[in-house]
Amino acid sequence: MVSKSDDASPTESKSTVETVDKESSAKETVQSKVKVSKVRGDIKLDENIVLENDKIKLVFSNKGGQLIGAYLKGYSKDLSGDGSLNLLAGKALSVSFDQDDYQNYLFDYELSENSLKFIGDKYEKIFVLNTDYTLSFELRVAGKKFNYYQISMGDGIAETELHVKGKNRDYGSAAYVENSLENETMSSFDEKPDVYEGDASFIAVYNKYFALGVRKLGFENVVRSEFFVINDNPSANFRIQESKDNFSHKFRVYLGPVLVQDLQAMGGGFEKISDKTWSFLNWLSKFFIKILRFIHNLIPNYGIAIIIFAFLLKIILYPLTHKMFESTQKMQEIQPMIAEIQSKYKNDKVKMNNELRMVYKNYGVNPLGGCLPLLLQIPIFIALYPALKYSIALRQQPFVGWIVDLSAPDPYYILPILMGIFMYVQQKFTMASSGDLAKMTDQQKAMQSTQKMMMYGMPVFMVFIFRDFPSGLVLYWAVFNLLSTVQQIYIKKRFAKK
Amino acid sequence: MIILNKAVLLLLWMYKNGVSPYLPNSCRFTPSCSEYSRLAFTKYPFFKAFFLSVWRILRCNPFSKGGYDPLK
Repeated sequence: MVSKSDDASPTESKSTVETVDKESSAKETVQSKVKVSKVRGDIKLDENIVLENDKIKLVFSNKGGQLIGAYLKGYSKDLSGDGSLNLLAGKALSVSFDQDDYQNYLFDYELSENSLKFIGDKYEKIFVLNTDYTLSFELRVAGKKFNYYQISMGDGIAETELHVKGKNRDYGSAAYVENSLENETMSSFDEKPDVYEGDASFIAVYNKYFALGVRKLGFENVVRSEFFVINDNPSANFRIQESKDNFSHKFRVYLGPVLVQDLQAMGGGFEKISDKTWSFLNWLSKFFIKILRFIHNLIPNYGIAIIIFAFLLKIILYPLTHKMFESTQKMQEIQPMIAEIQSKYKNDKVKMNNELRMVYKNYGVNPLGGCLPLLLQIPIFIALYPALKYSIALRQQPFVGWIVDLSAPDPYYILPILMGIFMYVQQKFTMASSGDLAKMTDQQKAMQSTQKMMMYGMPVFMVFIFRDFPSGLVLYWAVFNLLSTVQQIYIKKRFAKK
Repeated sequence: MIILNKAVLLLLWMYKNGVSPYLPNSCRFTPSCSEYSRLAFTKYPFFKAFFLSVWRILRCNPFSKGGYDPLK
């Protein structure tokens, strides 16, 4: 049942064992040095308690009364499509009271179609599976004395991808503390847990495409959130102060993809964990994903959708860049004149300015250009990067031939190398034609030699950087660079004719 | 401050040599915005240089006449 998973975590030990006899149950408890009272010895270990809907299959163990598997039916770890992706690295959703974590406590339980009740020591944990990726969770305490209790993400979120690169930047924990989102990737975790004091409405752990989170509903106790790494996976604890010994606290749990429409089911701004860039650019990033999905609906191949998207962006930016490329061309033509004026009126800045203005005016340089319009394009590319890198839409989506997964790096480096070649060609066309070396000043000569070095250096450097990037992102850049090159060749030709 | 200026100068060097060559020549001014910033960060303290650079880039738009605009 559970055995499909290739996750090597010990808690997933072939738990098809529905009935374990008293002896082995006792053995289990001895092995794990615990506190199952002798009176309660008749409760059998059951590690295959299942709640299931169309989207997820949750496997619980009555040992610790916790979740030991969360299988997403619509997703697979590899390309087999068997729907066996387990987003848990091990255990999760244990509740501890003060220092007592009840990890090895054998709970009695009641299971009905979509709800599960663990009956523990003066408390109950009730799970109700909803029809989406959420699970309602209620903690009922009756007559138990303690200072705080803590819900743990346990072993955290699993590595769900076959190609894991830059895990430290893609995996992390988040908490919504005092109305602001604290989001940390593993790269900024310390040895000790990172602690956030204050009322937090939810905590979550996430990897590149999936998330596990808990949101508290309708009570405002002081809480403390902790982020930490366990077995190289991110995890988190949610600690809630409660001095009453009779209460019922409700939570909602998320176990699913990082996809805005699914995350929204959690409420409370939980979908914010999908924000991957600066807050003022996230809407643009998500808008790009929407466009990609729209194109994909018309042509069901994300590789082609990316190519069309690159064309669209080039067309939108065309009026701007076209004029700029044109003026680059013109500037190259009038460069000798400008140099002449600059040397002629070296000592009369006013006269030089006037003369230069005349030249600019006569040649109609830059009708649309300017550094400001150019800089305004930068946010577009910054927003595009996370859209192509983190969108689950591209996960395991093929393009052609050797590109079987646009979210994974190109195994043969063909796309990065193509991109480098296009970059080189593009720069060769953009660079001021070497023209009259004799007329150049020493400074200009020096500049050109640096440029020459960069002309070879940069593409090589970029191929090196891009070799581990998702091939969808590299595909986009390769196509965009190719289009820029074509645009430049076209303008060159037009000027040559004149 | 001197360290900050040096850091900006390094970024400007990277831009001029690594990024700029791939972009069309778009500046309306002489010296160009990046060269103007470089001079500003060489000559003035950080905040003044920063302000001058931002102000220059804001002026470098389609509605400006452009032309010769040296650093004062």
